[in-house]
Parts: sequence; C-alpha cells; structure tokens
Amino acid sequence: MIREHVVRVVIVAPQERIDAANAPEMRQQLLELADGGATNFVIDLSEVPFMDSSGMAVLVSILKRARQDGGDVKLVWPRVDAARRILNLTKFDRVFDVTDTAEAALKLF
Amino acid sequence: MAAERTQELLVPATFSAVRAIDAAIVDLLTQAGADEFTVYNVQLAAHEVCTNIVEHAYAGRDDGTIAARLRVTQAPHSAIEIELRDQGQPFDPQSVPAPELDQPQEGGYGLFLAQALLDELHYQHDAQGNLWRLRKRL
Repeated sequence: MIREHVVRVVIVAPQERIDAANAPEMRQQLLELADGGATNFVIDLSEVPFMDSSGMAVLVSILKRARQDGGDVKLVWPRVDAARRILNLTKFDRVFDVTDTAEAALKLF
Repeated sequence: MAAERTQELLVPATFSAVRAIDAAIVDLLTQAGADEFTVYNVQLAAHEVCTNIVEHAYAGRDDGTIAARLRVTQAPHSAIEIELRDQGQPFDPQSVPAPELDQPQEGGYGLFLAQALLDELHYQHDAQGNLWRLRKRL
C-alpha cells in the first residue's frame, strides 16, 4: 500500500521593505490565509532590504496564529547582513527556525 | 577634514511620510562614508523613534508634523546627531517596558532597538513639545 502525506505550506516572499506603513496590510493578508485553512508558512525575507519592529510584530502574529492552529512558521534569512543582525539581536532566530533558502525551510515541515 | 553636513526636513507625521527621513539619513551617512551596518542601524533607530511619535505622541491625530535635523559632525570625532521634534503628547517612558526576548511578542521592540543601536538616545519635553536626540559615532 502506498501512502502519501502532503503538507501544505504557503510561501510568502515580500520583495520590498516591511515597515509600519505596509505591515498592517501584510498582517491582514497572512491572517486571511490562516482563516482560509493555511497553518504552515515559509516567510522568505531574502529580498527584504529593511524591516522595522512593525514587520517583526507581523511575524510574531502569524507565528502565534499558526502554532495555535497546529502549524508553524519558518523564516528565510534576509540577504542584507545588517537586517540579519537585527533578527539575532531580538533573538528571533531562537523563536523561529531560520534557513538560507525557501527550499531548506520547506524541508523542515 | 571633511565638512560638517546638516540637513533639515519637516514631514507629516504619518507612517509613509517618515520614510523621507529614513531616506535622508541613508543619503547623508552614505555620503559620509559610513559602513552598511551603521547606515542600516541608524536608519532603523530613527525610524523606530519616528513611528513611535506617529503612533503614540500623535495617536489619533492626522495633522501632526515631525521636524528632523540631521548633522554629521567631525569634532571631537565623527558622529551623526539627529534631532526629532514633535508637538504631540509627552512620552511616558514607563509605557514601554523592555521586551522579554525569550518570549516572542507583538510589540515593544521599537525603542529597545533604537536604544541598542545608538550610542545615545535622549528624550525631553519642553515648551516647544517633544525632542528626541539620537547620536551614533561613525
């Protein structure tokens, strides 16, 4: 007998800065995906040139929602070194699994 | 010795308009030859103070402004000094406890980051309103 176990993962890859001006829209989009049944997310930050604390708050919101629904959120490191260092400083790299590529993040589910 | 550079901006206190202050800081620091970490960190620190002004000092008001004065000094050492002025409600330092970094939270990182990324962050309230002074050696 062949069994197949498929895990649905939504990959979100913002291409611009995430700050207080656009973070509410991103939060709403992610929570709508969660309302639609998505529980596992990869948020690929590799092309994000700048992220403020509002953006970080969105990541925490969707993490809490995903874990509450039995799923999880994995991050992909920003390519900008200074942005990576902020995720170290706030210990986000301990709260989230963070990988170098979206493919590597998918393998963690 | 390179000349001192100063720039002044007056922007509406909205989340999108404060991006003009971010951009001016990036330009000034890039011209001053600062490394990429300094450029990013000072931009982020000032941005967090500005969004704090929009969200808390001017909470619920859409007619506020932020006056920014950016200055790269050479003596006694190379540094960037940023003054951010607003006429909103006074800031209450008690209202922002330091974040618990071991527990992910949805807020409270802003001023923690500003403080961590700068050499100096001062706040005062006077007859002209609120004044934040930021300083980072280059």
